[in-house]
Amino acid sequence: MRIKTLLIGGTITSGALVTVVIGYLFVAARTLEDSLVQDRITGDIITAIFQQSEVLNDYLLYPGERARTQWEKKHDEIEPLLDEIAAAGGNEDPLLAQMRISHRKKAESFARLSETLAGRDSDAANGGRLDELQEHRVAQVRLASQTMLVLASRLGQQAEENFLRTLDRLAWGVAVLVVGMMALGAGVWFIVGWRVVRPIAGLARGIRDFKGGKVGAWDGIQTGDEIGDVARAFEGMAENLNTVMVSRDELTREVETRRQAERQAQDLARSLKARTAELDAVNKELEAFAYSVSHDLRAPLRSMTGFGQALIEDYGDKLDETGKDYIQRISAASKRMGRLIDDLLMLSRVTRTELKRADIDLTDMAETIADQLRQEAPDRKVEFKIAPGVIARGDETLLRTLLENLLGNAWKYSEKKPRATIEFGVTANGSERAFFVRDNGAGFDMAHADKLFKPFQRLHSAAEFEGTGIGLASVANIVRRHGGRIWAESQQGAGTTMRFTL
Amino acid sequence: MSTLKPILLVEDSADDQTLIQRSLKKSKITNPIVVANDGVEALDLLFGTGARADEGPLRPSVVLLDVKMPRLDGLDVLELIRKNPATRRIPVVILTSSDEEQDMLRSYDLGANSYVRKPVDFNEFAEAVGRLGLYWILLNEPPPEARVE
Repeated sequence: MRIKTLLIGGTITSGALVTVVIGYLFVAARTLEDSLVQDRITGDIITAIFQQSEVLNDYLLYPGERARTQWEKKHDEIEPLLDEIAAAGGNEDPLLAQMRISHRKKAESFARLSETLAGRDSDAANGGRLDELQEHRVAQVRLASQTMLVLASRLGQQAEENFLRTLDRLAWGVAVLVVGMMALGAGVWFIVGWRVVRPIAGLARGIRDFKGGKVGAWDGIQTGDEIGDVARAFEGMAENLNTVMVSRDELTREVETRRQAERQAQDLARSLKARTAELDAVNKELEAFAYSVSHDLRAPLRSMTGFGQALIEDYGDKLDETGKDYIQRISAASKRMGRLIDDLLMLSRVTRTELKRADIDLTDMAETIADQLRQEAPDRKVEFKIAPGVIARGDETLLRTLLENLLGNAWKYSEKKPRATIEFGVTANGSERAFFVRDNGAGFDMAHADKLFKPFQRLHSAAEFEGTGIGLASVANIVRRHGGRIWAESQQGAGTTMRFTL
Repeated sequence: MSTLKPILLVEDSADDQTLIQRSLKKSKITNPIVVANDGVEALDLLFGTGARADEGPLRPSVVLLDVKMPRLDGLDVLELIRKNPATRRIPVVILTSSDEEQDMLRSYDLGANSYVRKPVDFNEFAEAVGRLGLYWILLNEPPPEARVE
C-alpha cells in the first residue's frame, strides 16, 4: 500500500476517531449537564414539595384563601420545574411522566380537598378537626406529595447515577482517545520507521552498493509505494549511469586511441618534414652537382673540340686522310660526350623538377619544335601533320622536353627516307585520351621493345643513327610523373608510332 | 698612334689561353696579346711591379679577365684596377665560365664594362671571342692614356 494512502487513511482514521470521540464527549458533556440540572431541579422540586407540605399544614389549620393561593402558587412553581426536567433530557423518562401524573393528582386532590374545606370556613366549632372525607382528601394530597417526593428523589438519584455513569463513560472516552492517539502515533512511527526510514536506509545502502559496482542494488526494495518508485527510479538512473559510464569509458578509450593516432600523425608529420628537408637538401646538392657537371666536364671538351678543329684548319695540309680522320674521330667523340652530358643533365632535371600542372597547348608547342627542327636542317623535305587544338594538363617544361625528344626522334629516324612524314595528334581510346607521334622512318624490331625506355639501351647502332639512349628514358620518366603510360608500335622499315597518356 | 695597344688576357687555363689567342688572330686582330696566368701577374703587368715589372706598366686597350683563378680572384683584380687612378678607366671585359649571378652583379658593381659567359660549345666560343675582339679593338674607343706620374 502506498505511504500516501496509509497516511491519508491514518489521517482520516484519526480525524474520524477524534470527531467521534469529540462528539461523544460533547454528548457526554450534555448528559452531564442534564444530569446536574435534573439533580438540582429535583432538589428544587423536593424543596418546593416540602414547602408545599408546610403550606398544606397551614391550610389545614387555617383553610383560608390565602393558604390555598399559596399552595397553588407553590404548585405552579413546580410545573415549570417539571418542564425544565423534560428539557434537560428527561422528556421520555417514565419517572417524569409519573411525576406529572402525581402532580396532577395532587392538584386534583387538593382541589377536592379545597371543595370539602370550602364548605366550612374557619369552622372552629369542630375545633379544627376534620371529618373522614376531609381526612381522606388530605391523605390523598399527602400521598400525592409523598409520591412526588419519592419520584423526585428517585429522579434525583437517577440523575446522579447518570452523572456518574456518564463521567465514567467520559473517562473511558478520553482513555480511548488517548489510546487511539497513541496508536495513531505508533502507527505514524511504524509508517515512518518501517515504510520510510528503513527503505530509505535501503536506498542509501543501494547507492553505496551501486558505487561499489553491485548490480541490482535496489532489488530488496520492491514495495508498491513511493519508496518503491524511488527505488525503481534509482534503478533506472543507475542503468542510465551505467550506460553513460560505459559510453564514457568507450569515449575515453576512443579519445586515447585518437590521441595516440594524433601523436602518431604528429610523429609522421615531423618525420615527413625531416624527410622533405632532407630531400630538399639532396635536391640542392644534386643541382649543384649537375651544374658543376655541366660546366666543369664540358670545359675540357671544349678544348678537345677546339684543338681538333685548330689542327685541321692550321695543319690540315700536313695531314693525310688517315690523320684527318683520326682528328675527326677525336672531335666526334668529344661532341658525343657533350651530348651525353646534356642528355644526362636533362634526365636528371626531368626527375628532379617539381611538377606544375597547367593547361598546355601541345599543338602550338609541337609546331614550334617542328620549326626549330626545320631550321636546323633546312634541306630536308619533311611533312608535319600536327592536329589542331590539342590541349593537355601538365608541366610545360617537362612536356616541352617530352615533345622535343619524341619529335626529334621522329625527325632523326626518318632521315633516310626521301619523303618523311611526321604526325602528332590525339585519339580517344575508349575512355582514354592517347597522344601519338608517328613517323614513317626506320622503325625498330618490336621484339626488343622492352629495352626501348631504358637508359643507354639502343635499338640501332651509332653508325645507323647517332644517339645516347637517354632520350626515351627521359620521356618515359616524364609520362610516368604525369601519371600516364607510354608504349610504342613499330614496323621495321615502315615507321614507328609512340603513344602516351597523361 | 703608331703602335697597336695590346690586349691583356688574364686566364689561368693554358688551353683556353691558346684557343682565345687563336680565335682573336683568326678574326684578323693583330694587336699584341699579353697573357697573364693569374691575377697577381696581371696586376704586376698593369702596375709595373713584381715578377714582370719590366713588361709594364701596361696600358692595354682592353683587359679580358677570367674570374675563377688561383691566388687572386678575378673580381679582386678588377677592384684593384678600378682603385688605381692610373688604370681605373681601362675597359675590362669579364670573360668567365662562371654561371653565378653574384659574380655578374659584383662585376658590374665593381665597374666592369662587360660580362661574357664562355660558351660551352667550341664553335660558339670561338665566335664569341672573335666578336669581342672586333668590338673592343675596332669599334670601342679606349680612354686616352692617363698621365704617367
